[in-house]
Amino acid sequence: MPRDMLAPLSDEALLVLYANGDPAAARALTLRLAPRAMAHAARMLGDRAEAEDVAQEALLRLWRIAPDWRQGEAQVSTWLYRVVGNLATDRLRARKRRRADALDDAPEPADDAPGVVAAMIEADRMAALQTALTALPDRQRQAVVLRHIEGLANPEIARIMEIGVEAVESLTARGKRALAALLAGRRADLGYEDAE
Amino acid sequence: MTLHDDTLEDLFRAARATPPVADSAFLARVLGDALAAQPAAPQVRPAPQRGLWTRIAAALGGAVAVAGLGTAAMAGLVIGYVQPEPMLTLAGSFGMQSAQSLDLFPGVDGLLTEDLMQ
Repeated sequence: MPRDMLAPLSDEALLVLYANGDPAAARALTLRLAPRAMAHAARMLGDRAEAEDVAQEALLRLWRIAPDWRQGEAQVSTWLYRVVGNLATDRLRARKRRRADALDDAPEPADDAPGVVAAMIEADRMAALQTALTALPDRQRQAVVLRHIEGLANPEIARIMEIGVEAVESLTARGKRALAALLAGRRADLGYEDAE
Repeated sequence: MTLHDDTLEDLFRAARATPPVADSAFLARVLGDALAAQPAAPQVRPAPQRGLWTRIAAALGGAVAVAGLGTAAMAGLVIGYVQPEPMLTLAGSFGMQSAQSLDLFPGVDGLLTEDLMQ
């Protein structure tokens, strides 16, 4: 099917076309979903190469389940955010295990805060924000990224994270407080004049 | 001391405005996966060639229609051959008197009788 005709179709309709062997649907879905999956993974992981690996793995799972996709049960984007979030969380846990093993021989403390501060001195605002995000607990980071950077509504975030809306509100509120604390005193580094 | 809410919102707004951009090599890898994992399109086979009688029956409306048509034709033949009295009366009531003089099945008496005058 010509690409122009695919543009108004929903993700789910494109997935059905993909499962029926339409190569144009494969291209349209890739261009629509891959950047979104990669961006979310990058916000979660703070590492572009790892984010690309996670996004590619999540999409590969989508391609494989496409023929068995049960229509009307979940939105494709919700499913994808969930898989990207789970894969990113797995990577973060593995990263923490590796770091803990490495620290057995190192005199440096395992606290993230000194790394955050050091990074902010040299980094621009976005890098400082990313560094602070990376220092948040996994679930708080996922909720804050989905709510405040991806711009999703709380009910959709609740479906993605498979928790209640109240739990989402609690996670985002705690995440924002933690971010504010991590970035405290860095107004000048972030490009803001400290009015206090 | 913590950061003001408006400062944090400003950072979020800037982050939304500058999402990580997917490069073409990454997109090519994902598309390669998609095409490799894609199920083959179902093969479209031409419909099997149907026989003459099947096509005629289909044109007339199917086997049921053909059966009905055949029954009607047989009934017409039987009525025409037997010429039951009620039908002749009915035809006469419509002024179709010529039906009585039209002999579609001439008798064979002439062939069976000898000409005694010879």
